[in-house]
Amino acid sequence: MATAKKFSYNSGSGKPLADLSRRQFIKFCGCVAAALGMPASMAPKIARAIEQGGRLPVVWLSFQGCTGCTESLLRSTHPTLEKLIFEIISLEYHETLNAGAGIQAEAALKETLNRDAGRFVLVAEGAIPLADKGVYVRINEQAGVDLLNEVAPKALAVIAIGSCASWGGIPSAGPNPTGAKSVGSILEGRPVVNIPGCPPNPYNFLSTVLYFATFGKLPELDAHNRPKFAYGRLIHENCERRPHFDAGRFAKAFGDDGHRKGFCLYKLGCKGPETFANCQVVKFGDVEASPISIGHPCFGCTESGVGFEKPMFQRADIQRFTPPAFYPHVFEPRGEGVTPLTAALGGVAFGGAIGAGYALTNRLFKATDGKEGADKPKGGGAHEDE
Amino acid sequence: MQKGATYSYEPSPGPLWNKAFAAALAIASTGALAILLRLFFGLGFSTNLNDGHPWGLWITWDVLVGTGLGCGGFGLALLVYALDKREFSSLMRPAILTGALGYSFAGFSVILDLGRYGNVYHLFMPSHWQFNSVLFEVALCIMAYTLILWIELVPAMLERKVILGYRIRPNILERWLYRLLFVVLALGMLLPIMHQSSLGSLLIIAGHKVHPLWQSILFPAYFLISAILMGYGAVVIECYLTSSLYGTPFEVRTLGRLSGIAAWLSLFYLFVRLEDLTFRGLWAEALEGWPGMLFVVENALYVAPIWIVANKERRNNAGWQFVAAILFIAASALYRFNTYWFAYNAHVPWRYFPSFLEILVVIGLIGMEVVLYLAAIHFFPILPASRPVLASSEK
Amino acid sequence: MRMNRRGFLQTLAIGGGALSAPSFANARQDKALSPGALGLLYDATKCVGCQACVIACKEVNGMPPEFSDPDHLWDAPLGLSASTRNVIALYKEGGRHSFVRQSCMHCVDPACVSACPVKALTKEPKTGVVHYDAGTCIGCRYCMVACPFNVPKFEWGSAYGKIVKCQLCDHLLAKGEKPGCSSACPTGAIQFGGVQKLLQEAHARLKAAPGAYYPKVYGEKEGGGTQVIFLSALPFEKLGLPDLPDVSSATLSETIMHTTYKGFGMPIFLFALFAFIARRNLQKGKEE
Repeated sequence: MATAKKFSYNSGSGKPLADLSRRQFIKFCGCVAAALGMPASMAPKIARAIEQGGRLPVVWLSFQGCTGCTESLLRSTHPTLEKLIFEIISLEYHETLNAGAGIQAEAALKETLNRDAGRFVLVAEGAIPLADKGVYVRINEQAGVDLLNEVAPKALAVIAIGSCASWGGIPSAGPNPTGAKSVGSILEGRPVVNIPGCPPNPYNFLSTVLYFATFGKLPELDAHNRPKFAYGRLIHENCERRPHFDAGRFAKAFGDDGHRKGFCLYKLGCKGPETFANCQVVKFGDVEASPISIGHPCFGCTESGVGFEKPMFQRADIQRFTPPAFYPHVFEPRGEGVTPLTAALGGVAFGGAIGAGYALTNRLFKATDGKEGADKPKGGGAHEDE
Repeated sequence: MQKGATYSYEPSPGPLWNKAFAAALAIASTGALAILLRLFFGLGFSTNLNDGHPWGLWITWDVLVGTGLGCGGFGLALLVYALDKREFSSLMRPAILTGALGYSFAGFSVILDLGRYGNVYHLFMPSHWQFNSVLFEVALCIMAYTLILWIELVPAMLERKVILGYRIRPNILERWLYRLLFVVLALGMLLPIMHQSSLGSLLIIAGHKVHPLWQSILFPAYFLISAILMGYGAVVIECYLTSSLYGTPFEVRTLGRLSGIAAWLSLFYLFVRLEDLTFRGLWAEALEGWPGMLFVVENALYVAPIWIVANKERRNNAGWQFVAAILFIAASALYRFNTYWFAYNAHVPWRYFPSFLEILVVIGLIGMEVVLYLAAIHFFPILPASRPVLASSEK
Repeated sequence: MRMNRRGFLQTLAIGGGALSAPSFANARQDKALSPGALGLLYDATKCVGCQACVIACKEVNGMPPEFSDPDHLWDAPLGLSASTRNVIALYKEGGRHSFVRQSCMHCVDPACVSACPVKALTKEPKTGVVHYDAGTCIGCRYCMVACPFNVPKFEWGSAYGKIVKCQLCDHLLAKGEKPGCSSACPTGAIQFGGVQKLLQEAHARLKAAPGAYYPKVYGEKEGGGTQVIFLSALPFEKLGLPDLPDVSSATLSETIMHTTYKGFGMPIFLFALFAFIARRNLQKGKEE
């Protein structure tokens, strides 16, 4: 991967970084470092990267999506959106956020593609429909898949934001009439960083972008191309309701006693035990909340094959089993005892042997009756002796 | 058995196919099916064996009781060849056949019981031999004795002259066999002493896991005596079973003498066993709880046949002999079940009762043994002839 | 013939005597602790029951979870098993309770090693780790019968199962690392080290806080000594650790075996005797 640091990002229309107070700026970089699982001492390094390297040009293409990812980004508060797009990155094209529209907007895109070819980051939002030659997404008389194929080769890195872009999301849910595919599957052979989530946590996106800007390489990815710093652990592992799970305290219906007491939502279908994401750590909307926090089971949006695929209230397949908060007794009785079936079979066999022995004994008693000690040939029953 | 034997033997009269044979064959086939299930799905699927009772019904019944019942040939060999009690020699062949079958099926069920039967050849590789292991001694010794038992049956097979259409020329083989017969016979007496006593020694290492009423340094002696008692019991039962099935003569007087010997032996056993308990000061425990009850029942089963045999009239009555034989076997079998199963406790409470398939395999193996026994006595001269005849006059 | 018979009975009596009451001239001694022996010190008074050792053991040894609840929610073994080599059990009585760790004790003179007929279980001469080799094992499960602590477990669920037991993470020891359980323990309740040092440490703890402990180091002498030793506030029998004599059961068993079979003397003697008598009687039968 080419290093991003070699390029200067002083082009574009954004305001200079100086508008953000130094204190606020370092604080933001600290947040990013924390999200990345790096020590706070990394914050100055990240800050330096942004200051020296200039702002990273970003082209944001929207495909088959609900724009929820953008909405999620709009609601991040540290930094706020305007600070983000004007001071930290240089957002060159975004259909929702563009100042201009129509021909003007398309011209801006063309200009960026020419000017920043090989230097900008492409962020793709939404799935790519392939059915019927991709007619289900058309932008500027161009099918979505064609637009992606035109822009992506010129990008320095591609980030698929949201579950739709990452693995198909809602549009790809059965029966998938539009033939929706993930961005990664269209751009085969080129690394695409997936930031799944419905919506994704904006900090996971920002952290990825700034990691890229700082170190000139993509963060470590998991098997599904998700940054490990954000998707390395199960929701279950960081869940605030976990002690209830370990102790076997479950909400069994919405509004029941256990639900009101904040018990574990596993039995309501919470997919935390099979969903890798940091929702329980980073939380959402800057109000320290996540779906699980407010009493709704996780539905596994970041996990291909779980979100939008498994029924909402079906129990999760636990990925990593751990001991509960209770213990076996030192003298725990185990093993299989007598069952009616085995007792019957054993009884029949034993009884049969006893019965046969009894019958034979009787016959022998009769045969030798009054003739003790006789060593004569004697048929036990109706046997012919020669 | 040998050329000069007083008794001669003949194949069982009547057709092979009778009700008993058909029933045994049906049971054997069911057992074969159960065995296939064990081989395909493993021990956990087919048995209730568990980590607290790693040895269950297959070991207690097939190996401990099975080889015990197969010790009739051994016990008789001691009498006939070591003590020169020629009158018992007519019982030899059936007893040896029972022994050969009992031991072979014990071996077969051990293979079924082995978790990694594919590695069983390691027992024959000197690099793997572990001379500290009692089980190693038992395994090799049992295999050797099984071989000896079959060799002891070779004369019976050779008498047949034609096997499966092939006319065999037994002269050379026969000559060598008779020349070395004393070696075979000596091994046939030595090996059971070794491994039957070692079946008891096996449990010494289990220490506290065997209830103190049973755990004893005298295990080898108890197991040896119980093996001989079971063997005698088996001889008596077998004689009456085959006699009444084929109408051949009862050997009441001979068997009466045998029962007398067995009674003396079990008297000796009881004396040592109770003395052992007194010595270790365990009488208080003897009557305590479930193990105490088992202990009382087990020893009452030894006392009962002694009482039967003590009376001369009863001793020479076929019915009483039969009851005494059953009691000798029951006592020794219960003793062996107690040591390996009922009084074996893995410290932590583990339940164990054999599973349906486990019992089915045991019943099926009995069926197979009966099938082979009936076939063997049908095709080969195993049973004593109806009238005592001199071998020379037959030829 | 009379002479013969009497002679035979006499020798049988002698043989029987030797068989059942071995002279302890041949008695072997308990094996001694190797100076480089490695082991664990489990201090039940320090254990908080977090079960981190259970998870760590499963992770480093690649063991599957084991369910005991109908919903299969937890890796909740009820004790040692083919998928659990290390487990924390709870003893509770009245107001008192204590955790206890169950795993292989790595006996100084292991009964399982003495019992195994094919050398599938071996004691590493230097570290004293009792090692199991599935490639050698025939699956007879005599080790399970022999072990006074019921440690070796069989893979019942498999069609061709093997024995499973703690091997003190010897694959980690080879890399110079500590066993998984002791690395994971957050309170130092499981301490890894040389057995001699651990014994010193255990006695030092007993001395420093005599009231806090049951006054004994379990495993110092029990069953001929173990390389995994225990400290506890409660009597050890309550924690499921059997009250064993100071002599290993392997010693008793092997003494009887080797007395009976020393140099194969007795079997050869009996064989010669039987052969002689059988031959004579066969000859006599022929003459008649």
